[in-house]
Amino acid sequence: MSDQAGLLPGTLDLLILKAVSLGKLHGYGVLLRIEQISGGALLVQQGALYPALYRLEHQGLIASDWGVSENNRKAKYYHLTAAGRRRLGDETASWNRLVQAIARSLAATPQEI
Amino acid sequence: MLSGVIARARSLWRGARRRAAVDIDMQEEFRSHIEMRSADLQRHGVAPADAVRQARLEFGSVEHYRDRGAESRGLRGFDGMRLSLIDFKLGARMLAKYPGLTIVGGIAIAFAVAVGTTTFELMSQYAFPKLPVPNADRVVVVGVWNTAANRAERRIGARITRWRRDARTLEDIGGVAVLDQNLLMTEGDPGTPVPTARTHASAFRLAGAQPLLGRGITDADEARGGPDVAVIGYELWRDRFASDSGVIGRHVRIGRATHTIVGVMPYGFTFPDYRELWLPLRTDASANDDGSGPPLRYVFARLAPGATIAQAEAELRAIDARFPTRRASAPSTLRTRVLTFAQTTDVGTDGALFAFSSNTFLTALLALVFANVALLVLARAATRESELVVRTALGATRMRIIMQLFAEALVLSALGAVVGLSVAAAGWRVAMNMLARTDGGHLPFWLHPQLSNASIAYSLLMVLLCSVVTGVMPALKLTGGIDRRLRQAAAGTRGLRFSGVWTVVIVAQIAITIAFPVTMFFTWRDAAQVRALRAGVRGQDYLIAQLSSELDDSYSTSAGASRRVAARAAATMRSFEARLEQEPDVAAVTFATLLPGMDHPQRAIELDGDSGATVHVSSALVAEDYFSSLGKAVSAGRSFRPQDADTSAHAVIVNATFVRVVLHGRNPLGQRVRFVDERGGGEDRTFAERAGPWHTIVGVVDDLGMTDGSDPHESGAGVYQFLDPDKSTSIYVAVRSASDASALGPRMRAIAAATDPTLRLTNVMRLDGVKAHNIEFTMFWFRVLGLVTGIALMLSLASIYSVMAFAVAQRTREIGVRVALGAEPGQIIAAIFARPLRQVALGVAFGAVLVTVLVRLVLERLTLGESSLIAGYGFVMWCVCLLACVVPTRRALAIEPTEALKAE
Repeated sequence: MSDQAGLLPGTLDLLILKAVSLGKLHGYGVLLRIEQISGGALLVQQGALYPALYRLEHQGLIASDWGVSENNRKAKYYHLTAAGRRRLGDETASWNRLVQAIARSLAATPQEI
Repeated sequence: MLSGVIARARSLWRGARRRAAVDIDMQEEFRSHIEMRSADLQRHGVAPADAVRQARLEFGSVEHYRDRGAESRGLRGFDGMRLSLIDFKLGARMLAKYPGLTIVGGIAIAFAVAVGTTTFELMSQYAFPKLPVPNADRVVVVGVWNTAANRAERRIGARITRWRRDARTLEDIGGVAVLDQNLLMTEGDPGTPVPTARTHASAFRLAGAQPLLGRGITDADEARGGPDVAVIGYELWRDRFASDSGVIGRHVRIGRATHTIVGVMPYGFTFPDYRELWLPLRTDASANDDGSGPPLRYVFARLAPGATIAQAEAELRAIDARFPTRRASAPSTLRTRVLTFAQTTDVGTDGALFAFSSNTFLTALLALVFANVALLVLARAATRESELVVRTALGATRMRIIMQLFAEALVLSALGAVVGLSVAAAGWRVAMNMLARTDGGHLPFWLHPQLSNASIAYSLLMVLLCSVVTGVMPALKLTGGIDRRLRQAAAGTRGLRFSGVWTVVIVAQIAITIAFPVTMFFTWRDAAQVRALRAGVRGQDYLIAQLSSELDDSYSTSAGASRRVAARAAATMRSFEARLEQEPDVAAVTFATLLPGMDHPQRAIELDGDSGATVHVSSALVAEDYFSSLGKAVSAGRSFRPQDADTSAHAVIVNATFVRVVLHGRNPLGQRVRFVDERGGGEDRTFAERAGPWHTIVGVVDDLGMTDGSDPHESGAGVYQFLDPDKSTSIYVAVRSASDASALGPRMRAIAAATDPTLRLTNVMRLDGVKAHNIEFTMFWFRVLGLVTGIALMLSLASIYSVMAFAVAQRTREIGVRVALGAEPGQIIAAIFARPLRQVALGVAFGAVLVTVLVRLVLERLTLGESSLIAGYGFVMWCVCLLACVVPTRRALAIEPTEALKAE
């Protein structure tokens, strides 16, 4: 079985916000950053990244401007807005609560019941 | 939360505004991504060609993600809303394919647009007048109110001169007087009365027109002792001067003085209403007395930069206060007022009501017409249901189909609007030109015969609204649940029915159509009432004429001269009366401001002891011998007598209806009444300020037609005041003839000319001609309503027809099966038409209720005859509606089972 996992529904937005919170990135950069910070464990379908980016931009959570990439290519760079930073904080906290709850549930033993 | 909404709205706005740029951006971004990925792969040793291919594969479908990207930005809805040329081409093709719908729908929309635009134009021009000059909103009207006599003081020549000299808050103060003057082309010419205006140059400039030839009235013309100049109108120039281009410099006699023609105004120039001759107005600065000069129709002025109306009013009053008058009436009774132009028009205060009633009428009309066309369009579109289902199956979104039907409706509406707008423009021009020239039709100069841009914009808005109602509404109905029908289509069944909101539309429009002709009934009733009106005199025995004595050139002189002129006019009037009475056939001569059978003005009165409660009654000023000359003796009290001419006498005579309706049969003699002014601008005066002096009722007379019968709310109760013909400048004369009254006409004109060449007679006719004229007007309105009703009925029948035809078309297969199974015609009709017939019946029933309510509103109670008339009318309309069902029914019954089943 592969080490790479598909994304849970709704988690792509959170990952993008996290990736962008670490520094200004173009679309391809976001993809690489997610791979990097997940240790290559999470795989994002490349094209699918963009509708998610546009949705976040539409919601005012990230903003973009055109710039030049490290390879001298024209690229659109995304950064986090104040609203995006708040959302990231909220979502991270909520995710951690969920993970803890699930972990606790999975660690339950018959003795504890 | 809020910031999220704002961000979404901003993103939507940007995306919708630059839709193409958004697509290019996305493509650019995707390309950049694939290039970077490809470069990465190459760095990892993949061959360039393979790297590009792999990068593309990893990315996935660019088209797919571009669509999803647009969806993420909320732009998919906008994509569906885009209209293409093909949509309009298809719309045009539909017009040709369904000529019935095109003709009926087109006429309906054209009719709605024509009526709507004309009403809007009338409303905007009449209720919200705008002067055709730059900075028209700074133009004000100055008036002087005589609080003692409770009327506007129009002879203010001296004041206006002082204002012109001293006022700083107002510029270009100028007056306009209107009168008829006799124009004499040559010596010995008996003269023709010509509608004339005497105007200051500044007021003349307000009309904003350039002369056709020569020049207009200029400031230099106002100088005293200057040459007498005249500017003539187009029609006078054409008819009396044979359009002579050398007319400038010609001399004509106007009244008693010779004038030089200095200019010709262009066709359609009407200032301040329909006039054919303009002369300079000369006001005298040396006079310090009020009551001098001609009565001014308007005094215009322009607010100085930075000045307000209140400041201007205060300044004029201060100027007035510096000049005491020598006249008996106390100066404090004259109050100068400065008003905006709109406040001074007759409809100024009623503007809102007028606009509201017009809008209500329009909304009802438009709702009826558009709902009708929507029904027709839906019935047609329903026959295309298979096409729409197929298009949906091929991937068309609901929005796409809605937009296509909207485009088709837009084409039909635009066609109707072009016709409607042309009719409205032509009709408005004809109506305005006709009205401006109607005898006595004092159409104000700010009304113009062209449709304004606002009206054209309004009609475009109607087109859009119409397209939404007739395109989008049916489309929503058709495309609702189309997926379900997509599945059913395979099984060969169709599920579309007129139900819910459409039932309401059908029922409502039939009901309104049935109620519409009620207005015709009321008009017909008005005509009948006018016809049945008893004026109280034998009209054929009297010859009447409108009489005006011209106060001539001396208008421009001081008060003393004005008094001399008035004395001369009085002598003229006395001489005219005496000469008439000497005629062998003349049995009696009398004067009044209005005669029996004419529409007398309604005035508010307060009865002594009613403390502020007012009633509206008809009013007229009549000469001492008015009642006896018309063969009516005073039934109680006394008639007028010469002493009543004294303004302090305050005697009035009331009619029998007044005693019955206003006094409820109490003894009128000795009771006191006073008139309360309700005219424009009265709202800032207290009741006491608006109420005039008390008058004592001294007599009662039988009713003498104080209404023309057209307004059922006018009771006919009336009050007569004393009229001194010697002091009046525009009154009616009535002459009783011992033989044929009409034969007196030429004699009367000859006597007038012999008495004074400046004495003018207009509207010479027999007294019963007044009634004929009133009936003619009502009948004209009746015919207009007939046309409107005819169109409404045609539309209604067309939609009933389409509903029935739709029912047959939808259920052809079912009818075929029923016939094949041996169903009787009656059973088929019952099965297929039960629903539409119920809708029609419901519509007729509601219509009858609506008619009853309307009739009750106006008539208050119904006679048995009127009730049965309504019931009969309902039945006739029901039969008429059934007529529209004949063809579809025949079509249903003619269906051959084999053909029907084959067709499916």
